[in-house]
Amino acid sequence: MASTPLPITQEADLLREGAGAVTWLEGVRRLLTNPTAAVGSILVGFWILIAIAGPLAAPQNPYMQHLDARLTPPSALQWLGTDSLGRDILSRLLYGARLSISGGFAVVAAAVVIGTLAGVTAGFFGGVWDDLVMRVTDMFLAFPSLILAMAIAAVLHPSLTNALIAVAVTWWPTYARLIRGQTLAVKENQYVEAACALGMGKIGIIARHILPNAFAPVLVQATLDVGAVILTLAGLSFIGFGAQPPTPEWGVMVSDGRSFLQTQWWVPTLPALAILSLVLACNLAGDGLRDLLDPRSER
Amino acid sequence: MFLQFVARRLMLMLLVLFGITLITFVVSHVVPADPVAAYVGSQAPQGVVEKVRHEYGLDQPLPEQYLVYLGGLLRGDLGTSIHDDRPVATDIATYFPATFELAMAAMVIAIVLGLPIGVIVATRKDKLVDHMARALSLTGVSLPVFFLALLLLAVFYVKLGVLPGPGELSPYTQPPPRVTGMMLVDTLLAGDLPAFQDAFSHLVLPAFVLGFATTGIIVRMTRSSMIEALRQDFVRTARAKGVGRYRVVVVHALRNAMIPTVTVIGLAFGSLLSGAVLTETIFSWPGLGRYATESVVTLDIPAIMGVTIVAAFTYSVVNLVVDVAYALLDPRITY
Amino acid sequence: MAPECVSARRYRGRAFCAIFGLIGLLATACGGTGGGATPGPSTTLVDATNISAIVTLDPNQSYEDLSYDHDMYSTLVTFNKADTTKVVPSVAKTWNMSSDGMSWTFHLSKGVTFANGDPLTASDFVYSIERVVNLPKNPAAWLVTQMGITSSNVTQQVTAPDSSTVQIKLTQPVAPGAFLDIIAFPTTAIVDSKVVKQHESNGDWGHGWLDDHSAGSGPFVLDRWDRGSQIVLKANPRYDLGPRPSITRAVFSNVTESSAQYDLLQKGQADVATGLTYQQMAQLAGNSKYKVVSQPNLSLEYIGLDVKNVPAFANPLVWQAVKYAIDYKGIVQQLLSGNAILNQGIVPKGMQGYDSDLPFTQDVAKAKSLLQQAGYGSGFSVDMLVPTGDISGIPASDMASKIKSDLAKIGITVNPRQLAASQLYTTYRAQQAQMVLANWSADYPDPDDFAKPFGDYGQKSLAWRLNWNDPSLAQMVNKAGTLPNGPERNNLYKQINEYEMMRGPFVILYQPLLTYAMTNHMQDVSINPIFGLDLLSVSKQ
Repeated sequence: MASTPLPITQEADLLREGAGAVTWLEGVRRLLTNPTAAVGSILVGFWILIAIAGPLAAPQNPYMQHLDARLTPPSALQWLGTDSLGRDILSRLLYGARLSISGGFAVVAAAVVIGTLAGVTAGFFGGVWDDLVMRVTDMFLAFPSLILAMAIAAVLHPSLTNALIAVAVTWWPTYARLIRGQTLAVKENQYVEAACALGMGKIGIIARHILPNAFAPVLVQATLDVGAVILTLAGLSFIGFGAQPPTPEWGVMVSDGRSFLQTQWWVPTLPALAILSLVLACNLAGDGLRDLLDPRSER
Repeated sequence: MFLQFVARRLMLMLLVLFGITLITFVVSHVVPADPVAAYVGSQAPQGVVEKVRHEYGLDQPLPEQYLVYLGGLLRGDLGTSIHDDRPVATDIATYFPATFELAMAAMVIAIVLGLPIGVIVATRKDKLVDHMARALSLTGVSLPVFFLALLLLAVFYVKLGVLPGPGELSPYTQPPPRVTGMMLVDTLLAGDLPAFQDAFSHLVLPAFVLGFATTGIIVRMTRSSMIEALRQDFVRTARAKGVGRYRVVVVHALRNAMIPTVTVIGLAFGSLLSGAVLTETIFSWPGLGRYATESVVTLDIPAIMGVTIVAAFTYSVVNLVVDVAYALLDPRITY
Repeated sequence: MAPECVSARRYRGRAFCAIFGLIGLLATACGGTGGGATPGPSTTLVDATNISAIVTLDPNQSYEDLSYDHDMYSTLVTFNKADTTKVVPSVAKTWNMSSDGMSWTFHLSKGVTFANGDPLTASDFVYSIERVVNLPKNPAAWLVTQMGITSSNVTQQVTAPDSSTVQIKLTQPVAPGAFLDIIAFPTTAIVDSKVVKQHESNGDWGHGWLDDHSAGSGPFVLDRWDRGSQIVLKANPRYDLGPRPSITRAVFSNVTESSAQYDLLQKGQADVATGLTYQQMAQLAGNSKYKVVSQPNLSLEYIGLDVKNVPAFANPLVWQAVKYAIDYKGIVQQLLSGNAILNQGIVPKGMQGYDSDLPFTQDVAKAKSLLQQAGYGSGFSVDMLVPTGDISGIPASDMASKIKSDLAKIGITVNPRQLAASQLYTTYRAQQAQMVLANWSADYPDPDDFAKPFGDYGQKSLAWRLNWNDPSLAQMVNKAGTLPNGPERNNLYKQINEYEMMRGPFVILYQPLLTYAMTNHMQDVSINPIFGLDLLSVSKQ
């Protein structure tokens, strides 16, 4: 009796190691020694904190106009100055953080979910379905993302929600491809065969063997993509197809303030720096994750 | 075998193109709004709207419109722009060269700056130069391109005055007769050297802005694949044989590092087309990106479809070329 | 080892060379034009503006910005520069109207020629009108067809009894003032029929060619139009319908970003900028090197209340309540930084029939009591359609926010819904809107062009879009449309204005100003409310 559990445990270890996954302890150790990942995680954590708590800490109502105090420079009253309608920029940045971060996460989450469904089934079951999925992703990937997102966001009524939908539509094929590739690679591995031999059902195999192995590169890609999505959303808002004024979305703030760059520089520059900081955080975190999760990749 | 490979990829590309037209058609016709209303404006009398809609065939059922469109496509007819009543193909031909010139210049800058820097920092891994380059390239992919454009214009044009402002040429320069539509080429063809200099200096800033993110990507890509390549057995063999370090770097490692870099260049082309939308707006560059924005704003359906299809088509062709180059470069790949 | 080291250095050197080579090329670029601050030759004018709305330069089809066609083509009569409510002779020396007002005769000046030397004759005018009504998909055709002249009868109605006489017969009555205003408009400009006919293809009436070439008799000819880039006009050496302009070359550069326009102006690479923001203009006004010139634009910004789709708006007391709730002064002085004039009537200043009365100022208490009287003391909620982009130079959403906050004070909750123009017009034209923030600008400078849309349901224009049918007002408006210019007509428009103010669902917010920023090198600047900067009079030091 004692011998039966052992092979299973060993197998479990095989499964985990075969995927190159790391245990939590190992992960934390690597995090602390890798400056990129550390800085990235801290920055991301900072912004997530702002997203959650920011609006509570905001000194003023981000929508409140003070027409007699327009375009004032940073001062003791308004730490980051006011914009063209006298609204407090600090408060708007804090509210906007929530929009940008949740927008980025939402789009990536949606893309991952749809992409996973499509990719895992394509890779695992193969055949006609695989061909179909591949061709469809090819078609979507053939569009430069901003142009397709623009077209979709424009024909729908321009709003933040529709921009999120538009960007998600252009983003899911990347994940489908990624996960399909991972699925194909893992499918051939011995421990999957072993699991099959052990009598595991198809869904079980997918859930317990394939998905966890695909997890690592997807996580890396997703973290990097949150940043890219935020940039795309800001770009869409900048040309008028995303969030609409007076929403304090950062891209909208830069767009509204663009004519003030030389005279009241803080109006467009501060939101742009916020975008930079958040996207940089995501990129650093993504890079760091890549180092952590793939011991073979060399930084 | 190779020809079979190419032929198969071509077939696939055609299928993808068909899908692109379908997707674009669906997207642009699921429109809650009415592009004809936008065209005639708010002041034209009520009857004009219906008249114009009928003249453009927009009152036919959707599947019929699609078939008509597809038929036109096969003849090279991309429909007529609702906004300016010109064939979309003519509009695209008018604006495409400027974007092509910009994208090519951006690509050249990205490669000429990115590859050497990537090579250098790969050989100086983890030193200060490496970290600086890494910081810069990360900034490149994290900074919103529209802000970078505004910033560089403010610094280099307004404050320092070393580079000219927006547009392809200075307003005082007589433009050359239009041959290709690319200002650099046309000024050269006309033998107008001052105009060529003017065009060149106007191209620098927008191309740099557009290529900034790609430069960063190429640096990182080159660096990591160089590092990867430098570890390989064949490199150790070469070193053991006594081949000098830098010869090893360039002749052996770089060649292998080029393969994923070539792929990145292909993918970057797509992001250049997207980035052109924002860059052209800020630099008043009369290209396809700006045309795309205007078409989308005025809901000019035929123009939107035309631009999207041309962009997707160009991107597909570039990727096909990249795939073929990839297959040629990497002897391990079988076809 | 040595040979390899040398080659090694070469390879590394190559990397550096590539980088420095690029920088070197950049250096030569800097040596080029750089950011020179010369104002350029004093006969060349550079205008940093937005030409992306121009779809054609064919005057008989042009509907967007007509200033270029105004510079390249002549009309039978034109607007008096000092007083744009009056017309003066241009190509036509004299004219007269038949006693029943249904027939007009114009006598052309002798010896007028086109820019290429061809003589201008009456048949050229006839041909031009034929083009207006025959060009397919012509959005401007209605200016002529509303007078009863269509493609089926144009050859009978518009004739040239001899080479210097034009006769126009109307099939329905048109106010003489309105008629002359239309004839002064570039839509009826005279094109060189000989040249245009030569370039006709597939029955397009020469439109394909005239789209981006000129064949006129105006003070300028078209040098080139690079779409999306620039429009360049150069002086017509044969122009003699008036004094020759001192500007011989006008470059209209397409610069869509206001910050870019500002930069060009500052660096002296543009003489005029038309799209600056108010803050930017305020910045320049304090600087003696620049000046800002403005002129009331012949347009009105208004809020329309749909009387059918919103139960509250069926009650005229509610219209009054809204009119008393709006902070007009705040909008003009603070939001628009003074770049508008207060106007609460439906005729803009600069046109006859303008009413300078301003019965409404913000009075929250009064507004609230009116609402109470109407039975809506507890307020109500309504959707307001707002266009995307800018209104009068500020983000439309800012205007919407201001209106929202003004009306919130009296208990009306406004939900701004920003829509792209096309969507907005679709809904509005379908009579489906609840409340609209919109603009109406002059198609031609006659009060009829405002009174009919704002007052006559039967026009299927603005009043119709808001489901507002007022037969007595419609009667007044139509009568005013047939009267000759004079005190009787002006009186009637005064009554119409008052009616609209007190008993109409249109809340006229303000009349925008056309403002141009320019360097102080520009002298003798005059801005025509219809055609913008007057190229004929302006000069550059």
